[in-house]
Amino acid sequence: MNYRTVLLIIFVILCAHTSFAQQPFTFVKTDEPVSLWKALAWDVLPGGGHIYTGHYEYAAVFAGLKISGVYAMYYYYNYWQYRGSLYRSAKKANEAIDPEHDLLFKDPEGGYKTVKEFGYAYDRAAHYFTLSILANAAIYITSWLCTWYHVQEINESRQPTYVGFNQFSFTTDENGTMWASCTMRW
Amino acid sequence: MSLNNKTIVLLLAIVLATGCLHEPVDEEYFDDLSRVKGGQKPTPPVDLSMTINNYIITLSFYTDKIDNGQLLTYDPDTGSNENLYYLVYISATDPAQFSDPKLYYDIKYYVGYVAETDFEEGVDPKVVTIQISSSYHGPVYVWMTSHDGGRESDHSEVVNGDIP
Repeated sequence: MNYRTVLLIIFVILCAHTSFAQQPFTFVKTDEPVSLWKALAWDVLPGGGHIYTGHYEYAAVFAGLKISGVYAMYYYYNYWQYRGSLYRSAKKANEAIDPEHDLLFKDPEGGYKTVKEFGYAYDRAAHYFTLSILANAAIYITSWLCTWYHVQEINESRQPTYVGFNQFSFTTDENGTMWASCTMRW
Repeated sequence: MSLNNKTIVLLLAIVLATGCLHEPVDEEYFDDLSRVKGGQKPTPPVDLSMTINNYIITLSFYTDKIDNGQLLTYDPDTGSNENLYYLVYISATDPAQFSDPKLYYDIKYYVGYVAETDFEEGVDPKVVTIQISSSYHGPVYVWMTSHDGGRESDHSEVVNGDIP
């Protein structure tokens, strides 16, 4: 088999293959990239950013953490206010009833406490509230970082790409010779 | 769908209720003596006197004296003195010079205590002795209080002596 026959066979196969994928030569995006700012804004809601990026298992975990975190803040804020009211009430009562002695007041959570001890419990409650705020900040920052990472990951696979196609033609001259040509564009 | 809504409302109610477990109390909350350990404060021992002999202080006091049919030393919550402890304080400086009346009850001057039940019932005066270090020379001021397990009384009169 001479080389012309081989070339002709390759040409025919190539044309047959590419003829089914004829597309105009163009510059297209395979898909729209995900907006980082929209994803981060959605992530203010529990699991919102992860649903936006399609990571539902992350959404479930962070939704749980965020709801628990907000509830912890609500709980410890109330607890802080409550311990503060007990402290102020005990201080006022001690001064009114017997300022020369450190009285022991019944703590609703059990046992007895002096005014100073109620003050310590008030401080502890403030620490719990502060910690709950820090925990929420940590959860939100972690969630945003995960969202940012997922957006980057998605957008990497959505970079603009070139799509090419092949064009082939047959011509015959006055001497009866057939000419075949192929143009490949990318 | 309505079941889901009910479930959500129930969960929210539980969340709000647990948050409200710690509703702040009003300022008068502890003005109620039932919330103060010991309730009303007892009265102190009376007629305190002291003798000093060879670095031993002998303190005598009365707790069963009656005035108008009422014990002078008693716990108003029980009406008796059976549950009382008697605390002894001692100082080398005159407590009248204390900058803060709270110092009368400061642990710095506290020596120890005896219980009403340590003595024979109804017998007065009651006597306790305190051994002083032989290296000490100078004035001694002693006073007492009663304690009902929760609250301490005002202090008794202060007696003083001198160790040569």
